[in-house]
Amino acid sequence: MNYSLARAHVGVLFCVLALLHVPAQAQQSKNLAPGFSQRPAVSKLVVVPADMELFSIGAGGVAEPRADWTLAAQKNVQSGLAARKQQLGANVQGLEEKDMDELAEINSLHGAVAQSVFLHHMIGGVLKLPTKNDALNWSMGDAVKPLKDKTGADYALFIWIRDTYASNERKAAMIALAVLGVGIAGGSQIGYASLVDLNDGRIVWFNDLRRASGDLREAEPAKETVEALLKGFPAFQ
Amino acid sequence: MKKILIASSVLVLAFLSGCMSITKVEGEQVVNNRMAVKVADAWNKVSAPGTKQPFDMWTQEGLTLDHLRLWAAVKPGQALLVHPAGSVPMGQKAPRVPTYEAGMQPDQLVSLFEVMYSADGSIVNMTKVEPAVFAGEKGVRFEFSVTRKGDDVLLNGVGWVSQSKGELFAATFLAPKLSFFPRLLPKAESIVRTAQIRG
Amino acid sequence: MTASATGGRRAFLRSACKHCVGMGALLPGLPALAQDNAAASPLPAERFARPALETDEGGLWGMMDREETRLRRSPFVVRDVELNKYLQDLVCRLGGDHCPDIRVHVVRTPLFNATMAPNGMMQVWTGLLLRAENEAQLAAVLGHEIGHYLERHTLERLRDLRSRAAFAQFIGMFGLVGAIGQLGALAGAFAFSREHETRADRLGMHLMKRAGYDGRQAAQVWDNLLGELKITGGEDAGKRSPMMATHPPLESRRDDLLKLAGDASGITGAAEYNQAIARHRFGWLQDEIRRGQFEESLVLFNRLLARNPLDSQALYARGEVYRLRAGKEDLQESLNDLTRVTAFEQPPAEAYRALGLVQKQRTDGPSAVQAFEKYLSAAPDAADSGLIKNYIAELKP
Repeated sequence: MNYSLARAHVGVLFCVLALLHVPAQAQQSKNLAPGFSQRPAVSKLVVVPADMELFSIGAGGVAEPRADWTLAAQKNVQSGLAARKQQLGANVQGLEEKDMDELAEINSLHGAVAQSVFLHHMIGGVLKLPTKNDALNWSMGDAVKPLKDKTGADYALFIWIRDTYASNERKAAMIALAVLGVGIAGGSQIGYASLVDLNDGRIVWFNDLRRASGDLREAEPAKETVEALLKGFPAFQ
Repeated sequence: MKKILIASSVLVLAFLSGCMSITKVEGEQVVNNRMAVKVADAWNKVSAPGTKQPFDMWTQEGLTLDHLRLWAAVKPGQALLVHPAGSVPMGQKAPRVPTYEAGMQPDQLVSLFEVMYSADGSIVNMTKVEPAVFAGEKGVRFEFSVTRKGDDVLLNGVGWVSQSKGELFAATFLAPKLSFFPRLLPKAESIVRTAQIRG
Repeated sequence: MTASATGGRRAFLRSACKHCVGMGALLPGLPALAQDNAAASPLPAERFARPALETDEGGLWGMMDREETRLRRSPFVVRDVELNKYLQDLVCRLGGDHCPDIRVHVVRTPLFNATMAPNGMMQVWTGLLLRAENEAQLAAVLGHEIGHYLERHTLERLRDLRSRAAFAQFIGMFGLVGAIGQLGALAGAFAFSREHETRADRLGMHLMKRAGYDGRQAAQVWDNLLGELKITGGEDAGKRSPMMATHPPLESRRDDLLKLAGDASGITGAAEYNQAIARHRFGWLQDEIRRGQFEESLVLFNRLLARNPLDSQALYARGEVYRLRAGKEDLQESLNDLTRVTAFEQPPAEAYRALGLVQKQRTDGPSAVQAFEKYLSAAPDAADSGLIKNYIAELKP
């Protein structure tokens, strides 16, 4: 086992958890591209299948994938989105997983773009790109054309979530260690929602979640996560 | 998507632990005190005091997207890239470090960059190699594609390399093939065109 | 979990354990395979049912399903319809009734490796396809992997690992399977146990022979791999190769496999195999050269040339590696190989390029120009034609 690589990754775990504490976002404009605030009334939205994975954290901090939780979360997010018809609009199309085969290149490119937005804009701070002037100013340009052609939509919504939940052993360990004055992280929820204008490829709205709460495994709490993820989602003109 | 978060998480670690900074660069800039470039449109320079790389790294859109790397006065025996400690690529006894040697021929210089960009298991394909002038010296210009291992993103790249008095000077620009490379290449080229060796 | 689902799974586990106990008793002596054939087939009779989602196995299937979706869309996958059909047919001959559950993906990575996930996703890396000398050798490796699959060794191993603090890493959160596949460090931690390895060898041999292949090729293919790795330091070999890291080399493997194989019967399928990979072989040789692991590459190329001295692709590859390594005697060795191969009827165009560069290095201008010109006429659209034309111009008086 490569020790220093392992250490680096454990270190990253703690650093990322440290980033979970997010100071309250004062300006809404951090989530909106310059000059954009609302969608045209007759615009169509396509929702790309959400990329999510749920894990259980064992006593030793081991993250174990839980397919049942992930499947439940996928259903819950889907129904959570469906319940937000008023926010998303009437003209909404959901893509199926199989539709994504031909859109693989756009999907992986969007992932890379979202990563840069996440790191350099949402987390920002020392990671800020000065030339961006604190603006959400990223575009995929004509790369989105195949998605536009396939769906005829004006906007595409991408969602990405990685969620961990403390198992009972983990909770017990947390309590036990807390008694000794040692704090260890429970679960965490990291994710983003990204709205792309399919006419020019711009990311017009972006929201991220970095918190130690939220439960996607049950329908009702999942609605809260969806609500948090879509907070400030652009309304119609 | 999953794997790029690993790579960028390591980046985040580097950022947070090594007092990494990102600064705006524009106007006249000097790389390693030995190569001057003129920057018309501002770029973002990424500095990591921790693992000191032999190149300056600049980006427009972010490190998961594009980068412009600039090398100046690399000496014989010096590597073009410093591998982070403990990261030996799979299947190798020791990381294959592209090292500049005196008297290298143009085709060998180009190989150095092929090695550099494939170190993480990415597939690199040289699509054009031709003589060119870089930083006022005769050298090579090359075009290539990269299939990035971490997240399957397809990137296009262009590079320039020349030698002067036994030292190597070079630049590479890499960005996603779709939309980003065509749009950003002119910005990279405008900088590279102005490169001048100092001292 | 429904009663029938529980019953079905428990029933399987019981049957699996039964034959495990049986096999365990047979292990020490490693009797000849004739006895195995006489006994009831050691294969689980039924195909695997999808495990219930809330089980740990279900969790892993889910993750691997998602990994497989990503893999299917990846630019690293070789999408040649004929090659994939060839491999899928081979896997079906080996896997019998389990064939519909096994999906083969060819991944462009220049290392010897094949993996099989509990959900039936099989990866075959192009480095393995380059190194197998015939269909029987490939069948041996794939049969071995199917053996791990049929006995669920991967699942046992992953369960074992999860309880170890060492596995508590950020990586687990962002791509369990991907991480295991791609990071050599984790591969070592993942290694199958001796017992798993022996069982997989036995099962693989059984599957191979049942499909009509010469079992002795199994000993050969693992031996070839070890030979390549040992050249740069024997003890280390295990950690560097993902295949060896997950399948620790057993000292007695060669002899055990030969004993299991019994007499020399069954096909090797060299011609069929060469035909199947012909279109890709040169590209894979170039991928191997690009690894820059010259000592290992030389062992491989020497082996290929020992088998067929007229293998022009391998002869070029060896000459090119000597040129790149540029050790004391290497330039001469390179010149020898490249001069020979360019005298063949249809050498790869790259051989002329390499010869030209060697002649240039030796300051034999006229010979270099001659070779370069042959390169440009053989490959007028070569990527570096601009550079080579420039060399010609510089070298001409």
